[in-house]
Amino acid sequence: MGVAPRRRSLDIHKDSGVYVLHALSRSEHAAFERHLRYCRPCAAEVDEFRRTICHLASDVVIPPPASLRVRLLAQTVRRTTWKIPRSDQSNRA
Amino acid sequence: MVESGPADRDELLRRVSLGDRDAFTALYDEMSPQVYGLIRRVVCDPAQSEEVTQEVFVEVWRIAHRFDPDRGAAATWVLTIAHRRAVDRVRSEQTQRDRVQALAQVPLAGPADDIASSLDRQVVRDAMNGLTELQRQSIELAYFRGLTQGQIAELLDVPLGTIKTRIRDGLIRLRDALGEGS
Repeated sequence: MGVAPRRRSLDIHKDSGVYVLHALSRSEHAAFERHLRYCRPCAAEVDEFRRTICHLASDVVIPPPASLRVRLLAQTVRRTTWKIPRSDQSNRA
Repeated sequence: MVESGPADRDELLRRVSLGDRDAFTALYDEMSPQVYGLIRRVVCDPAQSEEVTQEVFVEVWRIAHRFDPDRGAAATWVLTIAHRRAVDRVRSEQTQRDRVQALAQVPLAGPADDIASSLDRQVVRDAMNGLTELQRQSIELAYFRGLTQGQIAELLDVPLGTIKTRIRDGLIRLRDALGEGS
């Protein structure tokens, strides 16, 4: 989305909703996370929206296959051997 | 599934951050149906959903120390990671255009038929139905289908700025309707 930087800097507060829904592009997502570091109102709004949206998430409850539990718990024994790609922003919850 | 309170999950996650395997097992048993359910909803394919669920819990185990209870409940924190991972998966699966075109063939769900939660089902349903059609569709397409705001704008043939503000307005309305009840 070719939005000029000047325009974005004025509008960025409005990105809180799309950010919480993970509906920003990768670069927009990164820009908003930089913004969150110094904009307390947006940070507070993001926390509130996350609480709100989780009510929708709670809707579909499906037990995963039992094999997944076995595999996962086996992994916690050898914690240091996990090969997880060094990732991203998903953990900035 | 045995329900325990949000405070129990917070405590479990705190113990997970100290490397407590029993706490991790308990947290998995407590939250995996919600996590897997959300991921299935976004990713659809069962095998891929299982992989993503595994990634999510591995990440929870690895970065539990970053959980800050002052910023929200453990369940919210875990589900945020789950949603992000699910969205990453669907975005890497198909090109954006493919996905928008495929989704254009799929009818959108009716007004919030299948939404429920730990809150009273009816409360959540009423809150969703209290949104405008564009607010509700935009939120559902983003959250449950993993579309970007640009894809939603294209699919619904509405300017990007409008999608952005409708999503935020919709979330504010939902937040006010649902209160703090988490």
